[in-house]
Amino acid sequence: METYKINGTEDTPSIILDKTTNTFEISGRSLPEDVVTFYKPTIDWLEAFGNAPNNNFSFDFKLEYFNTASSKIILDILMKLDEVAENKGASITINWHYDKNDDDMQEAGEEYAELVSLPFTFKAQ
Amino acid sequence: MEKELGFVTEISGKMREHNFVFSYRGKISQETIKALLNLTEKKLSTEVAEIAVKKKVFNVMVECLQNISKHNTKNKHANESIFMIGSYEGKYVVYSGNVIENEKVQALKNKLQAINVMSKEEISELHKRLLVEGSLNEGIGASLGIVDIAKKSGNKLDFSFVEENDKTYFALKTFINNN
Repeated sequence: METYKINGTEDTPSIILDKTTNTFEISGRSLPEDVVTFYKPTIDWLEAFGNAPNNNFSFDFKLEYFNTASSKIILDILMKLDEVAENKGASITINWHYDKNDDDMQEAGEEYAELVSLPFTFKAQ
Repeated sequence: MEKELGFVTEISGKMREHNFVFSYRGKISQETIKALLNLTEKKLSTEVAEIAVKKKVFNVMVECLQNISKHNTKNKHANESIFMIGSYEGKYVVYSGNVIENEKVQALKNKLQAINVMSKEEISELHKRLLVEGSLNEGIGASLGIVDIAKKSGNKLDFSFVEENDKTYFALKTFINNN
């Protein structure tokens, strides 16, 4: 399966989805106006990956800012992973990174943790 | 000549009076938003030591601006949109204003009034509910945006609607302190 990798810009995040190295990460800022178009390759990649996922992996969110439109897509991604864990028995941990002074980002992670059954590890920096 | 340029002093005075860091009037597009974010980042990094406040200002700013830009495409008054940030003793006030259609006023007013009587916990619950429903239904995007602004601000939202013939000017003031 081909790796999906894009570099971040001032309003879009860096994304790495690499089945071979077992690296899955979204980092930086997610403020695109058209989130659906921006995240389509990510959603499609996860859809394909979900058919034959790795057995054990972490998905890292290292976000600095995200808009409410992105917050819905992040939930979609988490729900997709939740489904993969449930249907394929994959062991998935969500690593939620945030700046130790950024209570809002911590709360956002806690909100997601309540909405899906995946285990979250909170990593303050 | 001097007399004609009196408005410059007047505007400068108004900006000083309200402690504006900057003000912008015109059409708001994603490109404008990026430029304004850059400008704010430069301004805030010299002014605010607190990363938490800076992030709140940023988040509220993005929601306000993207709410406006979303409704710009078919809005012939898009160039009358306004955006300002005021700063006072480490606290920030984000102002945004834009022309909306008269028939949209009541629904928006109801939404804002409903949020303003909610407790912090109720706002968090509503935020969560809209987040879940939103992933199924795209139609409520603006509501989640407003709830998010209220959540990040932690203060009551201040708003006004000024009707002028066939249009209404909607202004929103969001107060941000570190809480």
